[in-house]
Amino acid sequence: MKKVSALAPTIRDSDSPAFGAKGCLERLGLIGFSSIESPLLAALATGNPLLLIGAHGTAKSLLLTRIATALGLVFRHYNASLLNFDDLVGFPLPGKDGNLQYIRTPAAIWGAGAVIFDEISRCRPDIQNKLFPIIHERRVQGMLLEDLRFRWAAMNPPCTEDDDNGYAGSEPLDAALADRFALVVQMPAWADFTPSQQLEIIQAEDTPVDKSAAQNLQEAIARTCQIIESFELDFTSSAARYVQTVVALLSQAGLQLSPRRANLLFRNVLAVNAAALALDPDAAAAQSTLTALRYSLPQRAQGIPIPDIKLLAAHREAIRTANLDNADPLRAILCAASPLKRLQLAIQARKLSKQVFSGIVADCIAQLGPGAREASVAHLFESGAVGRLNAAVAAQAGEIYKDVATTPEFSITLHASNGRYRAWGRLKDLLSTLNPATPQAHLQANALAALFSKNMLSTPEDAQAAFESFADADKYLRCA
Amino acid sequence: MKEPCALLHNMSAPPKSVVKYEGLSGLARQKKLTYGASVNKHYGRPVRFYLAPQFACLSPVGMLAVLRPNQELLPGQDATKDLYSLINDHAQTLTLPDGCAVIKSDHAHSVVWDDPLSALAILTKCTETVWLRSKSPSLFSGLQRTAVSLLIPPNFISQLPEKT
Repeated sequence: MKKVSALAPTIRDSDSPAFGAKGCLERLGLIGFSSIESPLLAALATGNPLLLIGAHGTAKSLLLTRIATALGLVFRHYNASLLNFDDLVGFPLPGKDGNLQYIRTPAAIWGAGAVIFDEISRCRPDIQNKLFPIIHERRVQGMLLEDLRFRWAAMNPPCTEDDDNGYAGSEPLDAALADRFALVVQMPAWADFTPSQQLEIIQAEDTPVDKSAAQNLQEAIARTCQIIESFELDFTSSAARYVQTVVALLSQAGLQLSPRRANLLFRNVLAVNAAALALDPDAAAAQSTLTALRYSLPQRAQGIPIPDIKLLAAHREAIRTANLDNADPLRAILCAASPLKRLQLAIQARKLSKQVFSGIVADCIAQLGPGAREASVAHLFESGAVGRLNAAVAAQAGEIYKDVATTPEFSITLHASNGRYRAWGRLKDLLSTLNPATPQAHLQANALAALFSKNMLSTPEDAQAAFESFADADKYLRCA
Repeated sequence: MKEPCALLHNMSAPPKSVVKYEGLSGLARQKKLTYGASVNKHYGRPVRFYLAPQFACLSPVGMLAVLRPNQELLPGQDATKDLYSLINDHAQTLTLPDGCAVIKSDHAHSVVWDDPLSALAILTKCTETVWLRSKSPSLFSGLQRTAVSLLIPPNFISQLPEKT
């Protein structure tokens, strides 16, 4: 297979003919799901827990029940908001040997191949805790549910304080429970459908699942499993490096992922790529990987916004560097958690191109807070590294440095009751601890005075924090 | 009716204070602290570059004639391109860091290079706040002003030549 990007799947030679199962969900009577076809197929191939999030009436339950029917599964559909534990396991009864046994009701989970927990975000916390081991390890009361393969759940978008979306009863999922779902898939909304799909949905009728459509889905799952097994080492290694970088970049953007999530993301990247190839042999790896990333973030179930621009930026950078060697300084820079560390590594890596170096510096300047930002810019000028920047970023740095390297003289009249007046009092006390005989002390004093004059230090606490940030950053960069 | 007294007018307003900053040394004086330190307005050494107004108003051909008196421009040769090439080559020879802060020019700042080519190499490669050795020169934006000062960081001051 030809390489299409830095992250291109290479598959060991296979005897199977080219297979394209594109539209396998549509053949099941599920309209408008082409954008989530590959993550759904990936979840079916791996058997990992799947969570669907969507507004009411977006066919979450229909989707899962039709898939279960097409796969010929014995499945249970529970409304988690009404669920009692007895509904799941039956009624407990002491056995002859003293062990607890359960009188199995037809609705109990025993013997099910798939389980759907609908409205999981409306579930009582005690029930949520009991669902946890079922979703995570296919166990109930410590007993393995041997027949259970698929664990699916569905919920409305969680209601948060900032966003009153109308789903007052839909609570954000507990972080640990959300992290157990390998794939967290956002359902397409009405506006995402094409006009013809909208018309098809309007006229849709409840019809039985077509046998050939069911077989098509089963073949697509089998093909996906086969492709996952055949991925060659260079692709899996690239995918691992992609995950390592993207996790670091998302963390820098404020989206923290657990080590378990990094592992799940890696498996999802492989599975979604395999599913995309099973659906369409010409599927682009970068797009499939972005799909895997988009639907691997548990924050969606916790009501934490995921800015698309941050996701795309992290993805593009990680794709670009997926083939770089582990010893490459750019990988170390991108994976460094703190902006100061990234800046320090970037200044040391003199072979970075002007464009890359400028991008890293611009990001660091944007991410650093008052005090640390000024100390970093001073270091760029003092080390001469500013000469490696492009004109736009250098000018931005120069604007900051102007107020650090030269004395920003000002005279402001303030009411004594004003918070800024108290901030200045604190700042004056802090600056008076500096020794004017030390040249660097002037830099620190100028930087903080400039921040004050620009209204960026409005409380004594702001002044203290900026003073300490400057000192810490300056010390860190000078020691480096 | 009598106008109320101006003093009475603001009696309920909180008192105002003037917050002043004139550098760390000034602050130390305000606090009555003595360190025996000198008052430096700049961190590093400002170096001034200026272009004589008569030179600044020359065309690229005229500038080349002054800078390269022994070399005539051949017919069809692009004078601006030649001038930029000369500027770029000269910029590489200046013992300055690759990037410097640009500050407001002052006659008190020392002049280390007083030749027009050095001044061109600085003025045409400056933005409002920074000079970059690798920046493409621009006569149009560079000659909007005829003097500029660069602030040389302490680490690079020793590389500067003696004042000419």
